[in-house]
Amino acid sequence: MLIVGAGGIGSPVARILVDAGVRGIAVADDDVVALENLHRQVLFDDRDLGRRKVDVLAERLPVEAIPVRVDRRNGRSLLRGRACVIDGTDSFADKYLLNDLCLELSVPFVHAGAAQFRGQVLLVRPGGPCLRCLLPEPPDARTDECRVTGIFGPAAGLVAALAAGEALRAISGDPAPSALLLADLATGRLQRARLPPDPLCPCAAGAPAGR
Amino acid sequence: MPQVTVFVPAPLRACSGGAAELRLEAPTVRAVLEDLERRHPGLYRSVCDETGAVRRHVNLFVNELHMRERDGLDTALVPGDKLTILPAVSGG
Repeated sequence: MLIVGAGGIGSPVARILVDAGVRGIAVADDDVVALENLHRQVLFDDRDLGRRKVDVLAERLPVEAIPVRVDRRNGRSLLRGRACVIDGTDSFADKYLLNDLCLELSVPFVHAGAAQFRGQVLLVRPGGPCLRCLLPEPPDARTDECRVTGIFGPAAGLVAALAAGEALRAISGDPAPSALLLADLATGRLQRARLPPDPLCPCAAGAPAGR
Repeated sequence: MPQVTVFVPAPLRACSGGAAELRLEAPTVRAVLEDLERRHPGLYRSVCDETGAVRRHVNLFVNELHMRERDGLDTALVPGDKLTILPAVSGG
């Protein structure tokens, strides 16, 4: 299993999966712990400031640290053969890259995102709806990058728990259909929604990669 | 006409006077959007482009179904339906 991004979603996902008994987890990230991370990245504290996140995680959990940013150059080799890939990234470009590579490599993919008080999780399986079925193109600059709007700490934690649950479903072979899981901690509203495949999405033709 | 509830996500609540939920009467999803255009034009512009189409980075769900799984903007609404506006999120 590979967790891409060791931040507010990725690091709690690692903790939850390890505690669930999952082994063979790798975490990829080239970022370091910063003060503004600490309210939601609960495995780190102020003694870790400036250290690579994956190195800290590997000290505290039985996970493999991969201190690189996953990109088009290294993505296939890092993702190929994984039981599941979990999205702990914080940019649309990275989320699309993971979505597309996982579809190309037939690797189950758990998309997760959070901003302000809300978040969403989608388990993408080969042949099922994908992130591009939900979001054919990224929004314009007005939208909510976490660096611009921030993330309420509990929202990241809740999304991480939901993502870890979907990852466990994926590796246990649970055949239940995927659903879009939505959370809004400003209102306390949790929602499960069906996401139909988008007939215009490249994943319908089975060739999404390379976009 | 059926009374329905529109759930407004936090990033767009500045366009709805801070309201997380709007209750209005509308027979279709299209009628909901027309109502928003009149009463909350900023919210409407965040959801729809200048042609009136729902922006590609915004999704609309009626209860737990995506509107494209129903009849799109012509989806008929019944009393108590819940319309969720879902913009993109990228953080982690």
